[in-house]
Amino acid sequence: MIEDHGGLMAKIAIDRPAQPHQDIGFHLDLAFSIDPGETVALLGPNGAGKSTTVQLLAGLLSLDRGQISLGGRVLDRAGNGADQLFVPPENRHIGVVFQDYLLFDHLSVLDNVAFGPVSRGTSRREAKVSAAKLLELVGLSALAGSRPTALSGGQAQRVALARALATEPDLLLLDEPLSALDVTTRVELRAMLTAHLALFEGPILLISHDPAEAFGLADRILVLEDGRLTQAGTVDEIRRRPASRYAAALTGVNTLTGVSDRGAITLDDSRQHLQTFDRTSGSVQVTIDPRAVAVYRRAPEGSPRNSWSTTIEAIEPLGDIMRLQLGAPLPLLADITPGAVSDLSLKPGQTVWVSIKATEVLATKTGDDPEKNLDD
Amino acid sequence: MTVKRDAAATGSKRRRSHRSADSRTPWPLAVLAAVASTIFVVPLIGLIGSAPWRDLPNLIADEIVVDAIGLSLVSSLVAAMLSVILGVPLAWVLSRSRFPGQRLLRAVVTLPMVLPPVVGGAALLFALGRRGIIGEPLAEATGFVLPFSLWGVIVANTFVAMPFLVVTVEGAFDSVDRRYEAAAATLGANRFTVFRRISLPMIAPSLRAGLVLAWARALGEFGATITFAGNLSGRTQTLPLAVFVALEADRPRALAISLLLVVVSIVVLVTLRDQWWRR
Repeated sequence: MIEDHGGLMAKIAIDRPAQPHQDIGFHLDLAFSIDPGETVALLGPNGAGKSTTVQLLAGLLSLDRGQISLGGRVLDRAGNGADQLFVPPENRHIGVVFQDYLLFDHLSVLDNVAFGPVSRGTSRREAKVSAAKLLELVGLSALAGSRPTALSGGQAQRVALARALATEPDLLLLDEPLSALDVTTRVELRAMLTAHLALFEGPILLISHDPAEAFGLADRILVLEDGRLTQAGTVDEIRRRPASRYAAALTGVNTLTGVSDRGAITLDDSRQHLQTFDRTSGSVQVTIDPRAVAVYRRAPEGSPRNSWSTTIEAIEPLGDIMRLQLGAPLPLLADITPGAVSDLSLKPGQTVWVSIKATEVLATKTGDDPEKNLDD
Repeated sequence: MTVKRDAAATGSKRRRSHRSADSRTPWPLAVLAAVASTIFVVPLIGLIGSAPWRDLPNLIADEIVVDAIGLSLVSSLVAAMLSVILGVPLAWVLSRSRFPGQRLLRAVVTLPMVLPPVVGGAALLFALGRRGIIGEPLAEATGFVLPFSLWGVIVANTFVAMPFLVVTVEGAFDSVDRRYEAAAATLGANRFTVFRRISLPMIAPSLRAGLVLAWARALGEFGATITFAGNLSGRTQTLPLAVFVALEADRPRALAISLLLVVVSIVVLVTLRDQWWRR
C-alpha cells in the first residue's frame, strides 16, 4: 500500500470529541507525502491543526487513525493489537526546529548543538567537534561558549537549526521558523535558511501561517484549514486557482462568486458581467490574479471583453510591485509595476480603465468548491 | 550590574514617592501587626538578653555539646542527602506518573508535615522498633536494631524532613515547561536522559531550596527523634535534645546551644532568601 520512496508518507487522523467546556471537538484528517530533498509547506490559519501535525510526526502525540512512515520505516500505525505500532520520539530520527527554538538555557550553545549526538551515544568529544563544525556553518562559532539567553532571536534560530541538523535526521520539521523574528532579521534568515535547506538531503516540512515564509521556502504548498487539506499544489497553482477564500486571501487573488451561462458570468454582489473562456454553466467561483488586471488612463482600444471604468481607492507597495485597490462597480486588487504607476501618474481617487482578458478569468463550479465540503 | 542597580534605585524612589498615597496603615491592622511582631521579637530578645556571653566558648566546647553538634551535623546531613536521593525520584513519580492510589500516596507523603512529630516517632517505633512489624523480623534475621542508634536518628530525621523536599521539587516538576523535554526527546534523548540532562537542571533552584529546607527541618527535629531514637548522650542526643535536657540541669548551656541554633537558622534564611523568599 505504501511504497518505500525514501521520503515521508503520512496519513494522519486525530479525533478529539467535544469536551464539556469546549463547544466543538477537534478533528484532524489529512494525507500527504514528501520526497527526499523536497520542501513542502503546511500553510494554514491558527487553530487549523498545524502544531498537532508537528506533534504527531515528531511522536509527541499518537495517531487515532492512519499511518506515518519515513524512508519505508513505519513510525506510527493506529490499530488494534499486533497491527499497532508506535515509535517514541527519541527513536524517530526527526529533527524539529521549534517555533520558540526551545534551546536549553542551562547548556552552552555548543552543548545545545551537541545534545542530540551525545544522547544518541556519540562520545562527548566527537559530538563537540561536529557541533563546532555546524556552528561554523551557520556562522556562530564565536558564540559557542555563550548561554542561549545571550542570543538574539536570529542567532537562537540558527542554533536551533544547527541543533536539529546535528542528529542527521531523516526528516526536518520547521515549525514557524521565522515568525518570532523582526522583519529585517526575517529577510536575512530566509536567505540563510534557503541555503541550508538546499544542503539537506531528506524531506523537509515547513509549518507556517505566513505566506511569504511558505512561498519563499517551499517547493509545494499544502493548505490546511479546520483540520483538513483544502488544497495542495505549487505556489503558482495556488496563486492561479486558490481553492478557498483563505488561500485566495493568502495570495491576494481576487475571489468572486456568480452564475455562469456558458461563459457569461453575472457576479452575485455587483451584478457586473464578466466573460470567461470556460463554457460551463451554473454557480461558479471566479478567481482573477491581480497581475492579470490591466489599468489604463483611457478606454482601451480593441475589444477586450471585460473592461470598465473605476476609481483607485488606495495604492500600496508590496515588495517590488504596487498593489492598487479598485472601487465600484467591482472591487478588485490589481498589481502593477512602480514604473507604470509613475508613467500613468496614478493617484488614489483617480478614475481609470480596467481590462481583464477572458482567458485570465478563471471560473470553478462551486459544486466542487472544497470550502463547501468543509461545512458538512 | 549597574543597569540592575539603577533599576532597583528608580524602583525604590518610585515607591517612596507613592508612600503618602498607599502606605497609610489602618490602626486596627497596625495594632494587631505590632502584637504579632512582639510574639517573634520578644523570645529572641529573651534569648540574647540572658545569654552567658562570656562563658559561651567554654559552654559550647563542653564534651556533651560537642558530641551533640557532631551528631546533629551527621544525622541532619545524611537525612538531607537521603531526602534528595529518594525524594527527587518520588517527587518525579508524583508529578509525572499516573497510577491508582497516587493521590493517597501524595497525602501519606505530606502527612509528616502536619503530623505531631511525637506521633511520627511512635509510628516509626511500632513499625521499625525492636517489637515492630518490620523491626522484629529484621532484628531476628540480621541483629540490626534501628531505635536508640544513630541510624534511628537518621530515619526519624528523614521521615520528618523529606516531605519538605518532595513538596518543593514536585511543584517544580509540575511547572517545568514540558516542551523542552519534548525537544530533548526529538533529539534522541530517552526518558532517563531527559530527566537527568533537562528536567533536573531546570528545577535546580527548587532542588536547592528543598534541600536546605529539608536539612533545616532535620537539624531542628526533636519529637520524632526522642520518641524513636531516645535521648542517649553521645549516641542519639542531638542539639535540640541537648537543649531540652540542659534546661532542667544547666540553663547557661541550654542558652548557648539555643543561640547556636538561632545563628544556624539565620544563615539558612539568608541562604534561601534569593531562591525561596524572593518576591
